[in-house]
Amino acid sequence: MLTTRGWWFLLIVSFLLVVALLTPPFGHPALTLLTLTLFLWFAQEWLRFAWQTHALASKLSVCRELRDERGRVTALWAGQAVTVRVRCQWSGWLDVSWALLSDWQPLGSERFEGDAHGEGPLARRVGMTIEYRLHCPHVGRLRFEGVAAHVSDWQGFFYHRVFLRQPVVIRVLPPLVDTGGHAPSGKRHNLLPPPGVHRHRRPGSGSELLDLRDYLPGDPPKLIAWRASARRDRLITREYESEVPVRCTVFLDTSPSTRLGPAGRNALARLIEITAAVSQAAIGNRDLVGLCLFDDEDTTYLAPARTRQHLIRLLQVLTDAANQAPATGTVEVEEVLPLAYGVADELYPDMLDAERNHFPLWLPWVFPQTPATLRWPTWRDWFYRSPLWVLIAAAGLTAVVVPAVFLLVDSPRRGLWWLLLYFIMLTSVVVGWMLAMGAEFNGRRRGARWRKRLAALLSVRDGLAPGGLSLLLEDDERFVRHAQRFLAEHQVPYRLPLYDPQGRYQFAAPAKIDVLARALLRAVHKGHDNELFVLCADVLELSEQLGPLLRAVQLALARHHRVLVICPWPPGMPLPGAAVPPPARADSVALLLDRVVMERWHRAYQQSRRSFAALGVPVLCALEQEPVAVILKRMDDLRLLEKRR
Amino acid sequence: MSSAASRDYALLGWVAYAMIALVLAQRAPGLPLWLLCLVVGGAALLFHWQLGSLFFLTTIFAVYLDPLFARRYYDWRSASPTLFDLILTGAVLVYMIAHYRLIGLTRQMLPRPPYLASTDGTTARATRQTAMYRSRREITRSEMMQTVLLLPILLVLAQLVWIVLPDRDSTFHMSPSVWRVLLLAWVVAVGGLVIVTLMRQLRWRQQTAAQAALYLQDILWQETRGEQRVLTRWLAWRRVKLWRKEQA
Repeated sequence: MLTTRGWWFLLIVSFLLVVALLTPPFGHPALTLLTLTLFLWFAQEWLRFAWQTHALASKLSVCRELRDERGRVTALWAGQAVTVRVRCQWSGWLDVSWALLSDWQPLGSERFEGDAHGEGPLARRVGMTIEYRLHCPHVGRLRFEGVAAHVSDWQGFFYHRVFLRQPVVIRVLPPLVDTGGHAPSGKRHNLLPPPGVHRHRRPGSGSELLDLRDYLPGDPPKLIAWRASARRDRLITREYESEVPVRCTVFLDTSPSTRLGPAGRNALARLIEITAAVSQAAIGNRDLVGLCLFDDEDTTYLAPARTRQHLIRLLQVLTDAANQAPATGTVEVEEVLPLAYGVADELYPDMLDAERNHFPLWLPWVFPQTPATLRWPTWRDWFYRSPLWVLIAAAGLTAVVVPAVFLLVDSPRRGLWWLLLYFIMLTSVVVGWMLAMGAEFNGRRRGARWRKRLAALLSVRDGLAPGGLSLLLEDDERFVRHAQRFLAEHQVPYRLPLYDPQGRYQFAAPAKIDVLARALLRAVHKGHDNELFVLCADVLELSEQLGPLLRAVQLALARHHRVLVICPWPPGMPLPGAAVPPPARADSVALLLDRVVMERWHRAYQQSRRSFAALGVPVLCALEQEPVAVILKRMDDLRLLEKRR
Repeated sequence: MSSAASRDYALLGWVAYAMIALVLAQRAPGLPLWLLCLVVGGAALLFHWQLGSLFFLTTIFAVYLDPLFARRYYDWRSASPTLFDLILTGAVLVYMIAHYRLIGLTRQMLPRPPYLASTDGTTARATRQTAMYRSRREITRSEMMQTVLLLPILLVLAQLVWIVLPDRDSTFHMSPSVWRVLLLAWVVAVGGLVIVTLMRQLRWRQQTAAQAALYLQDILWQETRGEQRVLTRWLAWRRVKLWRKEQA
């Protein structure tokens, strides 16, 4: 609460006041008056500030509004700009001298106009408005956390911070596309054709007349247009429009491997883009589109349909999937802790203060975390516990030395001198050791404080049992998982190691192959003839475990369905078949590592292509070709196939 | 110094500075000490020196406690301050107010979060840095009114405290100066404690359910920390052991 400036003022004025009062013989009246006045000024500033801030969180209200050019909005489209207006109203009867209100701008959005903060005095009936414009480049969810209020007096002696938590989540839906899968340039709505109007005018068995043509042997006699035949003196056949809908089911991989990277710029974002474009284009053509989200545990299935409500539901499901973040328990606590604590300190300052969330300073010295609960303990972890053993050894040694001295030394006076010498030496050794350990492991002890405070917060937020706090303090894996969940919920990107210390890829998730195979079999079982199944799945690291999936694909093909595989590709990696840059000199480990990873991906892609090519199933790279156009083309092929049948 | 607010406070500070210089000059202290006092005060205003006003105050103390000055021109054995002392006190208070508010307008008002220095760019991105400065708009009317009203009130209050503070101790037979210091320290400590307790009580009454749950959980943890640690360490050890077995 007191700033450095305030501390200096208080210390020097108090010292001078004491000097003035102690000036012999009866104190200095002028100087006492001077310092007393300054002291009283400081005290009244403190009182006023304490009264202003004691109810800051309850007296300051926040009203948020998102608007575009047509008015208030509750959902956005990717690429759309929106105006955020935050109105803060103060209802306390004593005005706040100076406040800096700063809106927590959602991560993943880009502010391009206006400031996300405002400052000035907070007076009753005079609100403060923050207004800025945001651009939402990616599909997903925007989470507005609330407003941070930093309050200070006019002199900067005191400081108080609260965060007015008011989370608002807004969906950012995929951009609209036309029936060709292209983003519209001018008109942005009403892209679906009215009922009865068909974009693809192809001959079929519908009721709308499409064209007249010469009779071909085999045409049904009921289709012969007799009047036209009479006029032209040859047989003419009527052709009707095709009204046969084609069904397409997209299987979207949402396992952690596709979620790696910041939301909106990872492999999943591209797959969602493709799925959304295909869905809109297909439903625009009155075709049925279904969706199946799967990961390594479960599936979410939306049965094929072609209504507007279905499309909206589909886009919402895709939007919700876009913000999922990967998680693994094998991350080191030190990797996640500073970031999670930083975010918690910004968003939950009231939950981390020492008044509610106490941390005894001696705790990491006496009861540090035991290396037995670590997955990969090092000698430093054992060394970290040495102060405890040094204290125990010192106590044990003292218990032996004190009686021994009195037994061995004949004079009690001499014994006391020996004991004094012993205690001086012991204290020097123990204090020296503690200081050395304190300097060596200072960051780790600070980490212990952060971890305790964060664990208490996470335990309450996630509704753990009363022992949850202690469990999170001792169990690294649980703590890391909860911290990752906390960061993911607040949409803060965090680093994850792709490989464990044994060099194994951590996100391959082979279990998802079985899940996908089961989902495909279920779709085949429920499906009609000639369906298109699009598998947007990351199978590159799983070439050897593809067996169940290949069998399911074989079954689908046997039922006259078509299957297409789209592999996600990490952004920034050279595409398969592209010219690979010449090998760099071996002077950089990072370059070598990049090259090894790139070659591994290319090899895995070629292997997957070969596996599926044996069944006649094409494999496309999500970044390489035009997957949307290819899928739509396949659906058209199916339509023609339907007509021929 | 281009904004209206900065100009107003700078002007106020320089006026107070001139008054202090005049009052001290009228008392004719030793020239080197007087010059040092003026240089420090002027530099603090000119360069927005954070600790400048406190150094200025210390030099004023040095001037007053200078034995030469005290012996020749100032009867500091008198029981109450003179009119010049009152003027000097008012001028110093105005100087202090102007100096600190000027610093508030030109330097960063709010402290930086401690973890920012020790974390990487990702955290800095997560905890967006905003300009933590007070804008240099014009001073509001209420701010100026409060400053003007504060001056006489504080002067009267300080006089009252000086008068009310007893200089005789009939119980412990201490010297009057020490007795005053002890008494004042006790009054400040007890008063501060009472106010802090009241404020804390008010804050407790307004806490949310989550904050109360966190507090209760913390109390439970503090009471049963040892037992919980033993149990959870065994659980964590078991998990790690199973994991190692799986890996093997």
